[in-house]
Amino acid sequence: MTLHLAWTETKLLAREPLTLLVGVLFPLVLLVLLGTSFGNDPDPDFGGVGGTDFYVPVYATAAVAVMGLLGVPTHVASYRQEGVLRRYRASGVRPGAYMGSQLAITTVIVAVGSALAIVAGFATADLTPPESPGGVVVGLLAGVVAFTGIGLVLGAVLPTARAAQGVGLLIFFGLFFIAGGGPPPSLLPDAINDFVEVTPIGLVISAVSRPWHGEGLDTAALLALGAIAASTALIAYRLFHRE
Amino acid sequence: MEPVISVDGLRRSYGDVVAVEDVSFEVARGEIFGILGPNGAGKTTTVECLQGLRSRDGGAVTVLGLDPGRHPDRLRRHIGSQLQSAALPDRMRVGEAVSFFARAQGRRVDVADVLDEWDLTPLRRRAFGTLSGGQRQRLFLALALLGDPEVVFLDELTAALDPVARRATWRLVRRVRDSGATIVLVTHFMEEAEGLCDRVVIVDQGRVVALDTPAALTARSEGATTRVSFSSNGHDLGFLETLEGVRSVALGRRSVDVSGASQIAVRVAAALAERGIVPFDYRTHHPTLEDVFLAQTGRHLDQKDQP
Repeated sequence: MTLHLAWTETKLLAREPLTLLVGVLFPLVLLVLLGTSFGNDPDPDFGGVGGTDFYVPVYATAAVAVMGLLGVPTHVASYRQEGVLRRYRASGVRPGAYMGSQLAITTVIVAVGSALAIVAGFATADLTPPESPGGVVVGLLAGVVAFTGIGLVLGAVLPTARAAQGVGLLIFFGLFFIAGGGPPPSLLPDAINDFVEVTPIGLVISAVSRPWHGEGLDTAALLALGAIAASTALIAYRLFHRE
Repeated sequence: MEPVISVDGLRRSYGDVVAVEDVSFEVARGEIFGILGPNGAGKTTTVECLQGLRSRDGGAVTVLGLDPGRHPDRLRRHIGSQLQSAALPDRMRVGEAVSFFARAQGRRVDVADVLDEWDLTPLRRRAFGTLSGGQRQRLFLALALLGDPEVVFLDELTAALDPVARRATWRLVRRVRDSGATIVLVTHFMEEAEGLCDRVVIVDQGRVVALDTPAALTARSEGATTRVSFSSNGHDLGFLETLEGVRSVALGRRSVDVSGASQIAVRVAAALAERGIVPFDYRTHHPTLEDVFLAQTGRHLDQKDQP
């Protein structure tokens, strides 16, 4: 059932490509702009790596954050608002199956988004391939599960799709650009860097960037993301059951 | 015969707000049973409890021999439902919706047959968001009836429809009943309950106000009287007061209003004809469920009573 639902939902998403394009293309355009303006020569501002090498892993996680903070919550909130979820439930589609379908869709979008970020890195500058591709994938997957959970909870709690969109945009723009998506962290105050490190976006960026640059798995970040995933999944499941 | 649905002392509140205080009724196999009441009377909560979509605080409920609170999934295989204001995704196509929900409910369904049966074949590739109100309701009915469920719940099926589409939908509901299903119809339209339902329970503020066939309810109701009106055209109409069953005669400047028992419609007409008086605008008003509701609660059906 989860697969059937995921397939149906993917088809529906494909017919509404605007969300998808904004979510995937907007970060891509930014990445290209940043990559071309900073080049890829080793730079102390980026902790000794090149600008492109710094930004590509960060922007590979952009789709994770966009889906978790915008895509999933607005989708869930609008389904809840319009009664689609009630109809699903009355027809025997269990909350778990619906949650699973959102996870599947997020995984697909993130795969596309991060692949595009990497392609853009190779195309615009001489991107250094990741030291540990497996570690990067693990980081991305942990991010996908945690952010799908966050998205499900936001969508279940926020009253309308509009509210979900507003809150999602606020969190995304509030965090992503101080967590590495904007100016190099070394140019930002320490207080900000300390703060973003413990936010979900900071965690997923670190979980992907560290193995990329050959600094090994960020076990603490992976564990934290796992904890976020487990707790949000539990909360979302409860909320959907009560709905 | 064993009732298909029995509800005894159902209770459900949301926090401090009591939505359903005390509702009891039974539904027999093959009937169209109406739940009538104003907005906020507790109708939707009642049917949601019957379908296992909501838990109840008290009372006993049995649907097809199952307790919906305990076995919602087992029950769901035997019932069909049209939920109030529950849409489909805008981009989902009609054909897709039929095959998706058939699969979700684990029902073996020939999609082409279903589309044909409900005249949806020409709309097969149309997205839900582009359908008219009447087309949507036709699709919802088709979905509610996938795999021929034994009991069908229809919640405010025609609320968003214009009169023409509403009548067309009523024909469809009768067709469903004729195929053998038991139908529970939630509505706040007096006319719908009267024209469509075999029996009606009138609910107000979470309690049962009246329960019977529409005809029995209107015939029994005390405050509800039959009225006759027509142009007086200067005739002397004093004799009307002497007719059997007439309770009052109100002579206006141009027209006259006679009210009384239901037989006065015929008696007044006969008396007029006897005297050669043939008004061109003779009208009779029989009591409706609306009058029954008004007499019982002192309020109109379309009056909101939610806090």
